[in-house]
Amino acid sequence: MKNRFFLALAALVVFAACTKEEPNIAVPQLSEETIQVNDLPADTGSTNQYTFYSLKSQQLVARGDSASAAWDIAFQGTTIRVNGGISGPGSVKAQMISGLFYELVSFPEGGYSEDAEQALAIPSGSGNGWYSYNQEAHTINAIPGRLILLDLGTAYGKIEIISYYKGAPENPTSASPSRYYTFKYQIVNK
Amino acid sequence: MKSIVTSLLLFCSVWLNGQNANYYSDTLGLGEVVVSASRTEKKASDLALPAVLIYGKQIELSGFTQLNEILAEQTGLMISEDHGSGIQIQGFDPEYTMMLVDGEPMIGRQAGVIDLKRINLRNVARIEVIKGSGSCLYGSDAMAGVINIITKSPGEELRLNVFGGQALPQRSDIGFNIGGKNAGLGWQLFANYEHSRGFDLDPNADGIALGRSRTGSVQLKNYYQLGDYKLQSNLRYYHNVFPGDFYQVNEGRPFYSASKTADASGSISVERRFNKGIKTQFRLYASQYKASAVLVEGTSFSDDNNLPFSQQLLNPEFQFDYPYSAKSYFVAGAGARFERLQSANYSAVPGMYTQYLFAQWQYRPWEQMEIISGARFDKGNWFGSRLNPKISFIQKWKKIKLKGSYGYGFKTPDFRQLYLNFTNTAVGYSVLGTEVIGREIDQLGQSGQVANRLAAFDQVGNLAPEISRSLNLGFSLNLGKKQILDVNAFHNHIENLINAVPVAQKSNGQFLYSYVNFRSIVTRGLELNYTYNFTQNWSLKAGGQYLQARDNDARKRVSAGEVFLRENGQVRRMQLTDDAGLIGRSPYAANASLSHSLKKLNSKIYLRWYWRSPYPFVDSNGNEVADTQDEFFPSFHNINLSYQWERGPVALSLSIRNVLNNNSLRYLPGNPGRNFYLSFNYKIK
Repeated sequence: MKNRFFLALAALVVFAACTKEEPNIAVPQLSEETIQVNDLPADTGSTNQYTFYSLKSQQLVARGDSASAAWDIAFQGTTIRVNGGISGPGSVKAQMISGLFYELVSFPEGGYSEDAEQALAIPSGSGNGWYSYNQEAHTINAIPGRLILLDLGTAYGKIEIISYYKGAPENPTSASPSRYYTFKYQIVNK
Repeated sequence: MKSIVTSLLLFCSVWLNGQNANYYSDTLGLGEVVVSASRTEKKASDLALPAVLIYGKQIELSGFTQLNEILAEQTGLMISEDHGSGIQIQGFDPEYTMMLVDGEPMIGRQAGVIDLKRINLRNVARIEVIKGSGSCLYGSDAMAGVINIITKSPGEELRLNVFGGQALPQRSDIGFNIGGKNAGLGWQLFANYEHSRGFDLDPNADGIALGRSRTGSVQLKNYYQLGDYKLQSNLRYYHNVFPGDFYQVNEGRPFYSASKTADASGSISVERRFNKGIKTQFRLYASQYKASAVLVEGTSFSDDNNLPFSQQLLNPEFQFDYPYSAKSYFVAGAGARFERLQSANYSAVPGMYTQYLFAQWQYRPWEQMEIISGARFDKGNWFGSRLNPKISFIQKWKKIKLKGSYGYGFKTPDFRQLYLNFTNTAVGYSVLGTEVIGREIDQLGQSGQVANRLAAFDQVGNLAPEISRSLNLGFSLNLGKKQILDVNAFHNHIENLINAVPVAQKSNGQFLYSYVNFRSIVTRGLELNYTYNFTQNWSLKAGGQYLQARDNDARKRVSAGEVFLRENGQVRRMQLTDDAGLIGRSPYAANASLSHSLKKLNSKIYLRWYWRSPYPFVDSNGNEVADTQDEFFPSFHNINLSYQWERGPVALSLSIRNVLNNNSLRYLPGNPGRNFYLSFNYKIK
C-alpha cells in the first residue's frame, strides 16, 4: 500500500513537473477558533485514494497538489497521514494523546513524529490510534478522549475525530455509509 | 441411565432427606419433586446449592418445545442470541456453563455457545440447573454452573405417547415416545420431526427474518438388570437443516445463509452393586458433532464458502460409591477425555487429552447438618494440571434452612483460542489462535498481508486456564400458609480471562486478532424466589435477580481518568457512576407465574411474565468499557400464556407466546413476535 502511495506521489510529482505549475504555498491562517468539518469523504469508493485537507485554509486540497505543502492532513479509510516524512514534502508532525479537547491548552513541545516507513505518526490499528473497531458490530468508532496533536511548524494543532460515518450518527451500524470523517480542530500559534 | 444421572447428581451435592414437600410443584401437579438418586429419593427443597428445577408437567403445560424458551422464564437464567441461543448464569457468558444430557456433556460449541435449541423439550422429564462453581465436581466449563437435561426413562409398563403441534404462522412438529419393560429389558424410544417455514418481519425489505428449517431427533434408551449388575445404554441423534435463504439485515444488502448440524452420541454403562450399599460404575461416552454453514453477503456464493466443522469426544469414567457409615458417604472416581476437532476455520488441531480424578465426602455431623466437600484434579496435555476444591453445607431448622457453598472452577483455553485460523471474507479481519499465530503471521507477512505488528503481539504466548472462585450463601424460609421464600447471594471472581485482542494490522486495513489472558471480572448479586400456593387450584411463583458484573481492569482505568465517553456530542471523562458493567448483563430481572387449575373443566391455565432491565448491547463508543452512553438493549417484558385441556389419554393445549408481540431484527433475531401454538398429546398406559 505504501508502495502504491509512493507511485501515486511520484506520478503526481512528474505531472506537476510537466505542467510546470508553481507549488501552491499556503499562507497559514492561524485561528484560535474551533472549526468543525462534517462528512469529509475519505476514499468512499475504496479506490485507495486520499483526501487532502488544509487545516490552515480550512479547505480540501486538490489531489493534484498532493506533492506540495498545501495540505496538512490526508484521509483514506481509517488511515490518516500528515504531510511530512514518507507521506509528503511538508514538515507536519503528529502524536496521539489521551485527553479532553477543551482541557488541552498547553501543547507539549516534544513527542511529535513524521510519518515513517515503520509507523505512521497517527498509528493505525484498533485501539492504537484514533479509533476502535467493534468486533461484534463491525463498526469503526472514534475513541472518545483520543486527540491528534500536530506540530505545524509555526503553530500547534489539535484534532478530535467525532465520527467515521456519514451524518455522524450516534449508533452507526456496519451498514451505515462509512469513510466520512466528522472532526473538530483548533490551531494555536507557537 | 438413571444411575448415571444419580451418581453425577451426587457430585452435585444433592443430598436430601425426606421432609417438606415442594408445595408449588405438588399443587401444580408438576409431579415428583425428587431429584433421582441412587439410594433414596431426595427432595429438591433440601439442596445445599442454588438450583432451578423444572419438571415434565411444567414443561408440558408451558406449551414450549425448545429449551431456551423455558429457561428464559426462570429466575437468574438469561438467554443471549449470538451464535445460537446461549445461557447466562450469574453474569457468566454461555461458554462457562456445562451442558449435560442425561449426565453426559454436550459438545459442539460455536463461539463458546451450545445452542439450547438443540434440545427438544418433548422428551425431557426434568431439567436441573445448578448455579455457581461451588456446585459440582465437573471439569472445565462448569464455572457458572451445570445444566443437566434428564430425558424420559422407561417405566415398568408399556407407555405410548404421540404428540404434535402447529404454530401459527410458521412451525409444525410431530413425534412419539414409547417405552416399557420386557423380560428385564427396559427400553424407551423417542422420535420427533419439526418443520418451520421461517418468518418475515418486514415484507417490504429484501430477505426474510428467519429461514426455513427442518429438525429431527431420535433417542433410544435401554437398561438391563442382571443380578447385581445393571447395564445401560443411551443413544441420541439430532439433525437440523436450514436449506438456505436470504436474510434481511438492519440496513444494507441481505445475506445468504444455509446450515446443517448433526449431533450423535452414545453411552454405555455397567453398574455393580455390592452389599452395604457399595457400588461401582464404569461408563463410556462418545459424542460427535458436525456442522457446516454457508454465510455470504450479497447474492453470489459458491461451495467455497461452505465451512465444515466437526468435533469428537470420547469419555470413559469409573466411579466408586462407598457409604462408610450413617454419617459419611464417599464417592471417588477417575476418567479421561479425548477430544478432537476438524474445521476449515482451524489449522490442523492436535487431540486434546485430559485425565481426571475426583473425590467427595458427604458428612452429616448431626441430623440437621450436612457438609459436602470434594475436589477434582485435572491434568491436560494443553494446560498442565489444576486442582479444584469445593465445599458446601446445609443446616436445617423447622422453618429455616441455611445453605452455602464455595468452590474453585476453571476453564481451559479452548480449541478456538488455540487453533482458530479464520478470516472473515466479507469484512477482511482475521483471528488466529495462540498456537498457530507465530507460523501464520510469518506466512501472511511474506505474502505482504501484514502491514505492521502491534505492541500486543509480544504479549501473545502460552494461554493459561481461566480460574474462578465462587461463593454462594442463602437461606430458605418457610413463611407458613404454603409460602416459601428463597434467598441466595452470590459472588464470583474470575481471573486470567482470555480475550481476543488486535495484535497486527493487515495491509487491507483490517486487523488480526489473537488471544491473551489479561482481565479479571467480578459478578455478584442477589437472587430471590417466592412461592405461594394460596389454594389447591391457584399458585403463584415470583423471582428476581440483582446482578453486578464488573470488569476490574476497566474500573481501574476509569478511576485513573483514562477513559472518556461522548455524551450529547461532548466528550468527557468517564466516572465510575457511568459504568454499565459488562455487555449483555441486565442489572435487574424479574419473573412471575400464575397457574390455575379448573378441575370441572379438566383445564389448567398457566400465565408467565418476565422482565429484564436494559443492558449494554454494543460498546458503541469504542472506549472498551460498557458505559451509560453505549447502545442499550431496551427494557424487555415478555408474557406467555397457555391453556391445557386434559381428559383421559388426550391432552390439548393452546399457547400464546410472546403475547406482547416483541420483535426486532436487531435485538431479537429469530423471534417471530406473537405466535400461537396448538398441540395435542395422546398417552396410553
